[in-house]
Amino acid sequence: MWKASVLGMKRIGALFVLFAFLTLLLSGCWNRRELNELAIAVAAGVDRVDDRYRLSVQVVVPGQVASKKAGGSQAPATLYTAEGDTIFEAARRMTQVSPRKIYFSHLRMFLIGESMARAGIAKFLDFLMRDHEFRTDFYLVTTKGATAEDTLKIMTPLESIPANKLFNSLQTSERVWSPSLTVTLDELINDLSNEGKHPILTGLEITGNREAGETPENVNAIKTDANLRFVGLAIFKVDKLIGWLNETESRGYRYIKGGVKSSVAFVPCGDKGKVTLETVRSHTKVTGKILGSKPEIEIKAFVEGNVGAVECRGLDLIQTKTIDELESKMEKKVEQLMKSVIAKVQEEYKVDIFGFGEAIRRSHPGFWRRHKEDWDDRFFPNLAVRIKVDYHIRRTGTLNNSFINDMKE
Amino acid sequence: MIRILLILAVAALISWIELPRMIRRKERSAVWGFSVLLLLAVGISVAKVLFTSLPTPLTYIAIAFRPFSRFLTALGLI
Amino acid sequence: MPEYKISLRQLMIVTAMFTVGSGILLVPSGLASIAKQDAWIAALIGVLFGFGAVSVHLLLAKMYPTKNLMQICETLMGKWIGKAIGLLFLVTFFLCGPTTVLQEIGNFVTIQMMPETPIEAIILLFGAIMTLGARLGLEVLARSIELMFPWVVFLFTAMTLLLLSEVKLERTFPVFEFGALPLFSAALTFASVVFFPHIMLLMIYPASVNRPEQAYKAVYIGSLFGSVVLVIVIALTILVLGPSITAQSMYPSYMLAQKISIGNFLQRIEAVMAIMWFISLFFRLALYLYMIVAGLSIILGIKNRQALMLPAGWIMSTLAVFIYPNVAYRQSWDAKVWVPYTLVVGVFLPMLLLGLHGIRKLRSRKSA
Repeated sequence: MWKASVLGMKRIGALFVLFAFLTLLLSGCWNRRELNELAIAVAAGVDRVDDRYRLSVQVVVPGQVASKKAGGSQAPATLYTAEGDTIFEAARRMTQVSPRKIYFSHLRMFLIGESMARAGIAKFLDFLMRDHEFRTDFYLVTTKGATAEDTLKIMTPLESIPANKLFNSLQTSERVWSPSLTVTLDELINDLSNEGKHPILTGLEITGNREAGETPENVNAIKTDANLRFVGLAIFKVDKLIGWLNETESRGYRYIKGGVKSSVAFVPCGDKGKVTLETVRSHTKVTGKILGSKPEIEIKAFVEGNVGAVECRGLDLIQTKTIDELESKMEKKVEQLMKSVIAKVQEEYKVDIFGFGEAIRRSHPGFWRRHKEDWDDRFFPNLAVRIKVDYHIRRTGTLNNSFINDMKE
Repeated sequence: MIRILLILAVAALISWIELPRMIRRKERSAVWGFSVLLLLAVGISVAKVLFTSLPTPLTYIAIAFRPFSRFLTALGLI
Repeated sequence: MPEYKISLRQLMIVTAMFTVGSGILLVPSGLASIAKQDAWIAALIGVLFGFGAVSVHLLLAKMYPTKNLMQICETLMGKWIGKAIGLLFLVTFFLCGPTTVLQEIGNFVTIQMMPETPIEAIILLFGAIMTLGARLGLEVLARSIELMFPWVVFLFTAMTLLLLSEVKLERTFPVFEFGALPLFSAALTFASVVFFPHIMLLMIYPASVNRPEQAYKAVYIGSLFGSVVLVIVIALTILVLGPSITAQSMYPSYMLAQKISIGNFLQRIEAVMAIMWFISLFFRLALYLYMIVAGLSIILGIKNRQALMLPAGWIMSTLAVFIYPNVAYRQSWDAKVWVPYTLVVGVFLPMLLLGLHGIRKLRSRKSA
């Protein structure tokens, strides 16, 4: 019994020493960074100024975001900028203005200024991939008509941190309104690494009064003076920006890429009327074929939609004939959307942003290996693309026939 | 300097943990083996402290396997 | 010193964890850079190669169910040559196996998670716990693996299920784009990292298993389980990240874990996934250390192998700091020297031993 208690004491003593040692090891480590030492960057932008990189970083001001009182004297986020010959250098030079070292792991948006995009994006992307703090889940966009720095200065209503507004807006808009496209860092790197596709990014512009947008007055009125708005898609040739797609063309692009979850389109009805249909699901299959010795692409799109709004009179939605007519009209419309964007890019820009080269590479690797060098110049501009759209209308909302049919003339 | 003392202190600690049991059981070969290994460990650690870059022993293995490695590379298997 | 016996189930789990071991972190990048989008096919072929090697080991084990590897060497090659070969084998394996992987762990943590921490701290911490594990002996290690195994399985299954939404099948096409030769090269690399070192396991089975005749079943099943895990991980890296990013990244499995994002709330859990790798790496290295020191003690005739663990672990930790002078050395080593080395010790050596065994039997049959 004496032996047992001595052993027990030794064990307790040893445990105590162990725990003490563990707390020494676990409570802090070399790489600890306390929350109040971090400047959490939520958005960043890069512009090209005189051959140097100008990095702008939008950093959260935690007190202003967390406080219950509306407003306060400080903005919810603050902008730091720095220049450098390389982007890493610019990021470090920022500590000259920022009181803390910037922490990039919570980055939500990365804005590429138009000047930078035209000069080439590959070089600074290596820093984003290589550094361990950057994750791959933030979205990249190109700014149109403004520098990234200016875009990051605009204040936004509803969402106090502009970066969050941009992130949510792009995510939502990709889902419900098709011209926008979310591009994450690894998707962009994949596009750049793969030979058969050129990258494409969504464009962002400032509408309205820019100077007023940078002040708190912007969010004081019901209609804000300046707004951040996503516009069409930016076309890149390898890593340089060469042009833009407008809204219609961007929607065509989205249909080709597939995965349009919710989008609206209208078809004419009768003489002056329109019927708006809401796409709820779409799935596209792009296959590459070689006919003779010429490559050909076949696009099969399967789209499901509902009737969203009826703006004409005399449309009898209960008849299957009407539905069939609407379906074939929509099929033509989607086909037209796709055809027009393909034609525009083939004629004007001659870069394969659709991934047709990738499709040929997947189905006929031998042909691709032989001809990949002149794919963009020789084959892509004359590429025959056969499009087949299969549109199914499932439901008509909560009404059968519109009350417009019953209205007095 | 202080690092070398630390290394010696750790060596002493390890000996204090292991040696009494071995000596009590009169395991001569074990004491010898233990001491040799411990000496080796202390030697390498002290060398690491004193010299900033030490050659890696892997190089010898690499040299020994070079012909076989070249053969496999020629085959295309590496 | 009494030989502890481990059960068959423990042997199976030990083999499974040993197989998963370092492969899960280190293999996908190399495989993708050689075989590109066919990396998963290369992995499957590598599994076949590996099973071939393991079969050779098992055959050797069947011939000598009560001896472990060092004793087999001595029996077949004569006392002194056997001891010399065994010593050479152990020393080189010690340098190429646990020491290098320990540095890999340090590299991984300092690159991905804590860049300002000096690598010595991480190596020392991991090395210390591995030494402790090895010192406590095979029985303790086997029991702890049994305990932690369900967690590893759970984390792995969770990761696979959570990533299924990000899978894009078209990333694996075109198949066989560059022909079959890169596949074989990649498969050989796979087998040499994952399976050829299983020769080391001959230190544990069959001598330390409570039912040696059944050991082969446990080893096969364990290897199969480990292979499934590895092939799935490699397939996932290609399907989710794509071959280019997998080949470019140092640790694509970590990037995989970073991609997990369900419903905007189950995100950023890659450190939790990393637990799975830390556990499997720990066991692989602790087992390595135990087996090497056990072999050493058998060759030198030292009964008390427990005492040798601490200094051996210390040597391992110190060497691990500078065993690869830099990353480029490591790439070139992994590409050019590791495969020939493991071929020799993991395939040719057991074949040689089997051949010697055959000659012995012939001679004894002639004389009888």
